[in-house]
Amino acid sequence: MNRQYYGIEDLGMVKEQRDMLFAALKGLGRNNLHPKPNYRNHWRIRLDGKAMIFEGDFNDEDWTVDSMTNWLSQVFEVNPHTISASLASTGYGPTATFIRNGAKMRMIAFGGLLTSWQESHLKALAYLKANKLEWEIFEEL
Amino acid sequence: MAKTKHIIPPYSKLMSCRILPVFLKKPAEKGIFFLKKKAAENDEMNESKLIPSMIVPALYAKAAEEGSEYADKILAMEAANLIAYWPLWEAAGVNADNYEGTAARDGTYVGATLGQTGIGDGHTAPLFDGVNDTCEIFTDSLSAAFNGEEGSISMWMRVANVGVWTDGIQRALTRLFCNAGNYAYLAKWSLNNEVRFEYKSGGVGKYIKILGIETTDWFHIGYTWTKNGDLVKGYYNGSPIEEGQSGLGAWACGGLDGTRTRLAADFIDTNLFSGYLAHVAIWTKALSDADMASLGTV
Repeated sequence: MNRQYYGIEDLGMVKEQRDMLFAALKGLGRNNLHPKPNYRNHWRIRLDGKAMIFEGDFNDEDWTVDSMTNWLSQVFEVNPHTISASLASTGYGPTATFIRNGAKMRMIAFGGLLTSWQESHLKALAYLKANKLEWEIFEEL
Repeated sequence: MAKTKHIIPPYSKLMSCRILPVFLKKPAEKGIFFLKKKAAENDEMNESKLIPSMIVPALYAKAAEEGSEYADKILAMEAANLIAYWPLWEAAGVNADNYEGTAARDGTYVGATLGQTGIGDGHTAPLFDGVNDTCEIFTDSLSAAFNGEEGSISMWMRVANVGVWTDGIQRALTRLFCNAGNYAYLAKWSLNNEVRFEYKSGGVGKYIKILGIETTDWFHIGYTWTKNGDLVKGYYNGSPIEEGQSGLGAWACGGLDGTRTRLAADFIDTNLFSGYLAHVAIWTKALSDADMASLGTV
């Protein structure tokens, strides 16, 4: 079991699908009654509501392309064989784009699947800093 | 359900009292409860037979377990106007105890890493990761008790690392938010090495800056506002930052907004603080310079 940060980005879902996905993601995590709050699955949502970063205790096998494909097929009640995925590598961690009638969703494992929490945390912070206009509110006082 | 306040003086003061102070509250009651339970188990013992020499050590042990002299200082300061005090010293669990005593104003940790090194009062503090950790403090009870026209905030903060000071992100420490024209806000600002306090009432914003902060150690910040005195003031480690600002607008608010009233974050999921917070307290009165000077030392 490993505690780290993951991100999900909507690439082409309708709102109902996205809401369904986010609700399902909030229910993930293998230690959601842990006495330490940081071990429980928790999240934040991008300003436009179309991306989510969450942190919690997971098994690495929870996030393989196969397991994600099966999980998505259950969430959306579709045949898993109709979902494909393409992998890529970024400076923040590996990504998998899930495709069904076009790209629908991208997932990132901050720091990689077998990384430490510290490394995952650093990558998540770096990602947020690089994309701060999409995630943070700036006020001029 | 209302809890009683946790006011207990230092042990040395207790020992010098021939009669137990009447203001002993929660820790005392817990100690007495324990002894009452013992008394119930032994019919020969009842509360009237309890003597201070029996009670005081129990009180002190409980205080040492739960409190600190710094916490006592907060509880004793303008106690009638203290509406919430979250020491944030829990080692586990999601409940952030309102040590002022009103259980309905307890907070809720979301994701924070508890049990980190505290301000030096013998207790720990939580780390907020700057990604998705916060502490939700909005409650209907807090909203009802909050006074937008007269008040103070006191807290200790420490950034996670020196890079936070130059990360270009506005990171909220707390915002007591009613609406866009009425709120009290403390944040690590998006400009380098800066903390800002903003008080906005009736759409009129007054803000005070602490500039040039580079420390990665704990420091204290305080903020007061008074419509009657027509003044907002900010404090850094107990000292006033400047003379303060006047010309306050009229607070117009029907209650705090639950989506933006929290610690270590703003709005629902934005502007999250990257660092540690401790001993966050709110009053419905503008504390004096002397009070803030006292709060600025452990």
